[in-house]
Amino acid sequence: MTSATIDRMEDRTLHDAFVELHGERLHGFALLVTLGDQTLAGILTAEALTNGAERIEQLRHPERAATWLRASLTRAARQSAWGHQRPGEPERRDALLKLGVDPATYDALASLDVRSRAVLAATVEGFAPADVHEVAGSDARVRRARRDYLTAYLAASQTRTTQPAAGALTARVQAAAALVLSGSDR
Amino acid sequence: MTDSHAQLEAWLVDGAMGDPPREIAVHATLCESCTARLGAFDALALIDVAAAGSPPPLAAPTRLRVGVAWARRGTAVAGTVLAGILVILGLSQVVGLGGRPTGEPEGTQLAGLSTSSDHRGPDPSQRELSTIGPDAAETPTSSVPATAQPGFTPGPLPSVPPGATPRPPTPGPSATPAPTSAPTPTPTPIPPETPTSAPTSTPTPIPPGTPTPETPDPSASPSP
Repeated sequence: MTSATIDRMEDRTLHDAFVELHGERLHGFALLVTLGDQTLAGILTAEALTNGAERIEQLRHPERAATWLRASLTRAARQSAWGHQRPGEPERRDALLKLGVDPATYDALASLDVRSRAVLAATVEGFAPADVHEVAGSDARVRRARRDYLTAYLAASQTRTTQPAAGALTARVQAAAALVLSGSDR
Repeated sequence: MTDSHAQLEAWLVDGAMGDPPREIAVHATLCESCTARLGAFDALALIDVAAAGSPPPLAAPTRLRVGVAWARRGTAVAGTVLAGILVILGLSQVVGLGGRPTGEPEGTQLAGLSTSSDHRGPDPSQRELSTIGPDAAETPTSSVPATAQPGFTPGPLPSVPPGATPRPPTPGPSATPAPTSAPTPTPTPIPPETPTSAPTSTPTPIPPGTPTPETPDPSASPSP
């Protein structure tokens, strides 16, 4: 075995490891950004992974690589020249329902642009504020995306009878209120 | 009350970092609309991006990407070629290489060329046609201005020479110097040709033909 072959195998292994590490979550991020467009999400994910693998030396830190991949994918998704057949709304809803996107959330996401959806997707993934800022480009955009989503979600949920179950955030607020009401926070 | 809604909303929009302010937390647990606000971000927290599964293989994007890139390159090349053609056309109109202006007749360019190339071959035949009437001695001086004046218009001459005739127009862009240079070579060849051919050809056929009718008639009629 020549040294070039070994280098190629090592490169291949490194590339596969990079794809395996980031592939699934980046694909989910892409589905949220493209609003359930599975074809486009696959294309964007594959392209971002290819570009990231080419810069694998600069992206050795996993968190750094994850942020870079999402920022790169968001930039690519904002280009309008993707010549493919766009799916209909039922297909989009089905694709996002598999990720746990409820109907009101889908309606709210549908009213946002690509970058705002990327902000929310990065928030969903639990990225640090600095990383979300890097994906969005500025703090003002991050705030605007969250505010627009909140407004759209409230409008969408008013037309629906089912309310989502209380989640982790509501539980945190209730716990803080309980401390105040019990007088044990002093 | 409205202020508490706004404060909770601001906390949420800022990323819901840390614990909320105490009074806001108490208000939010009792306010239905604030509970809905919390529910909006709770709904986001229910999303599991890892459930999307593995991305498709890497072959598909490259094909589509290459197509998009080629389409972009094609439009860029076509635009460059079109711009180049337009620039060449514009330059040719400015310099005058692209042909005469649309309103200018063909005769003006030919007339401009004939003044400079009067010593060449094709002119004697035309000169014969134009100088049938007057004498041979007068034809050289009168024929050249006669061809030059009706054909020339003072306007188009200065505009045509820069492109068409770089050598001759240098002595004078006006119409006056051109005739003086042109007549000098032409008079000498023309006079010998035209007089010799015209007088000799017409008288010679007549004498042999005329005697035949004259001889029989006068003598035959008085005798009977």
